[in-house]
Amino acid sequence: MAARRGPARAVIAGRFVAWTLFGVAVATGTLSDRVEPRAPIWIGGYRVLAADFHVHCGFPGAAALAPWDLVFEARRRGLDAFALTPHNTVFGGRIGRLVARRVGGPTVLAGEEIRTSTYHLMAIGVERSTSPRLPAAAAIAEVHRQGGVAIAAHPNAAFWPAYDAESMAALDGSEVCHPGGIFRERKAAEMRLFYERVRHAAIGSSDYHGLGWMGMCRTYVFAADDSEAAIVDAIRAGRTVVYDREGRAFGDAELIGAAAADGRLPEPDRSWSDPGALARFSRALGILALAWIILAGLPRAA
Amino acid sequence: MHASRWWIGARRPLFAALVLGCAVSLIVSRTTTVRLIAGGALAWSFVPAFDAAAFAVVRRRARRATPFSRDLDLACATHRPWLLWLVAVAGLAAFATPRQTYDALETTAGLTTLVASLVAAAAWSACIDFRFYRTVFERTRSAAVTDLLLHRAMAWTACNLFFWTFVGWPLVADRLGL
Repeated sequence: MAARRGPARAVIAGRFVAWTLFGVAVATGTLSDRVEPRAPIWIGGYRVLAADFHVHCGFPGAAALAPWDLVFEARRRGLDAFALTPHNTVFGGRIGRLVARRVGGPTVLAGEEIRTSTYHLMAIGVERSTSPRLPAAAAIAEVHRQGGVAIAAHPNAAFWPAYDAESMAALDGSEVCHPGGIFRERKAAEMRLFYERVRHAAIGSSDYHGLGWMGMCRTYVFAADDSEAAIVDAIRAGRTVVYDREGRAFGDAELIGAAAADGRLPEPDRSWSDPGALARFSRALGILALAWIILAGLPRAA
Repeated sequence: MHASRWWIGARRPLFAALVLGCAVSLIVSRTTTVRLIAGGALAWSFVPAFDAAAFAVVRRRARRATPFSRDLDLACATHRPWLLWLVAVAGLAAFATPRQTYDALETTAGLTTLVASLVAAAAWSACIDFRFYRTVFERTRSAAVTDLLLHRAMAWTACNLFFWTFVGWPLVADRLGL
């Protein structure tokens, strides 16, 4: 009897220690996860908004975070605005916008990534999804009919044939900074070439699915205010500036000059820096404690 | 004191959701925070929910007299390989730099390692599930294999449809020439 009680006690004690460590990991992780307040930036009479126009949401959708979580994640990443662009549906965008309005921002624009086998196109500021069966020019026309803007998503060479002269002229913007281009110079060069062909609004976005960081690549939008309409207007007018990882600026030359004279752009991106000792401790402890809990298992049902 | 039936049936699926939430938190923020764990657990709760639903269908075929909650509790004990795999992958992602993550997902070696570890977890899990159907449900060898395959087919199809439908339907329609 005593021999049986010993291991049982050890197992119970082990479970208790593992759950306690897990609690400590979550508590320290939560404490280390602080949002630093950002003062609004005004340059040349425009409100300069840090935005990410290519963010995917789950529930449902092919991404890690649900729309409501992305609202808080955007705050954490110092974004003033973002567009929720799930694949071929605007449902998630409308949910995210509703949540953002309830919690006081950031500004969420409903949108979608129209994903076809020949092109990927972001429709920003729309209420209904556009058929992915349409050719690029017709899809762009439909986005415009709804009052939105159409942005070529990561336009690598493979997608170029889908954009004929009509659709190139109608595009409102194209991604010139994208995570795919950060680590692959060939992809970056292709996106730059595409952008140079028409010189519509320069867009930097993270194509965020959960890996990497939301706002990893971002667009500085020079808008009249932080409303959805003002942001869409600014993109349509090409009032955007994007900085790549090397600090090269793309976008409206006048605004690039004004931003350089002002000196506050690009803002330092703390996402890439060391998260701090508390976060590192929480991370290591959390992983170990979770593995321990799984191996120890839950107690048997009474 | 006996736990309620509801709790017995729900605790392991809830635990799976908690681990999914932790994995989301580790991948997204490289740490564990209450906000991301709760949000991730809710957003990914469809995985244990579809798994439990698929199990309910398989159990119906076996005509069990024991309470569903108890059977579900025992069946979910086989989640261990998946959960360990998930924590390992999330842990690696949490410690990797963006460049390392990107490289790992773009290179054949990285993808092969990921897929191989996934296959190993799937095989381990299948062995445990097979034993479960044989011993707990007292099924014959062939019936246990059928139960296992049916369970997997239903749960995985439902999860993949929930996750990929909006991405995939235009591509499938294009392929089929619709």
